[in-house]
Amino acid sequence: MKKIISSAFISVFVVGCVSAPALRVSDAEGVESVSALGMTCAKPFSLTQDCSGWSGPTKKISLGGKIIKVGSNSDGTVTVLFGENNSKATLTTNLGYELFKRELLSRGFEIVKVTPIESAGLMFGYAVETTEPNYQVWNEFTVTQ
Amino acid sequence: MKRILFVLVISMSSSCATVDVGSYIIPGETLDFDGHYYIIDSKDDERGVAKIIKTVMSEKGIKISSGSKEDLPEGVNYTIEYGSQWQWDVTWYLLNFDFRVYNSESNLFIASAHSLRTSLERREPEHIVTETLNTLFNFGEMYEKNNQ
Repeated sequence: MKKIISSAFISVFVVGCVSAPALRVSDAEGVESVSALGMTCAKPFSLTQDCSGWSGPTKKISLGGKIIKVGSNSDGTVTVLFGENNSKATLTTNLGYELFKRELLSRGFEIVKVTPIESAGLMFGYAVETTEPNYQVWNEFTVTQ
Repeated sequence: MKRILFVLVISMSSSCATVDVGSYIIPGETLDFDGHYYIIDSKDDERGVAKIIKTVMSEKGIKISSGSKEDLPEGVNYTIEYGSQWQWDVTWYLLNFDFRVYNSESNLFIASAHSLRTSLERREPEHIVTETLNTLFNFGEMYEKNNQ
């Protein structure tokens, strides 16, 4: 399996554009990123709520008219959010983070760490850690599709 | 996350000619064109993007200054954060540009504008910044308003 993935990557980089580090929000500047490809539900964020090993966070929420997907660890203090999984992932993820953060700040939450989740120059998501559990907040924004 | 591998393969083998420029504003919020805007310098900005933003906005008649977050002057209505992702393909070009506006008092996000221009659609940074900010501020409308 690893050989297949390595071959795919080499092919992509040979025929595609050379990639640079993904554009990240300022809250995540200087924070070591996590590989979106290498990440699982168990590692490194222990996501036990709304997570799929295939696609990542699975709970769809709507913030300011934009859809993002979230999942969380058991106590709800670390929420991982993903934007759309496509070539515009960076743009949708970064906007999703801003809307997510706005909601948290307006409710008085304190964000202690924002870890970027990226691969091959695209930003797929952020892991947002707060001092108090935040995950229950997103129930009221859940959308069913 | 295995699905991401497929996303990467598809997007990177077909994304060398993509343009996506647009903006977003929180429903119910507005931007006051006559307000004082303040760019918070990014330590990752090695190519002078803040200077370009400042030039473009001041040329359009918007009151704009810049500096560190700690040196925020009095009277500022909006703070601006930005990001740029540069890519190498024969020459360096600006692949992604992201512009975000916050309320200076509450620090709450208000609006953003973005540009994605891949290699075959590359433009000068000045062009990209102007084009991107135009989607948010509508410079044509501002010009007419200022010259009435």
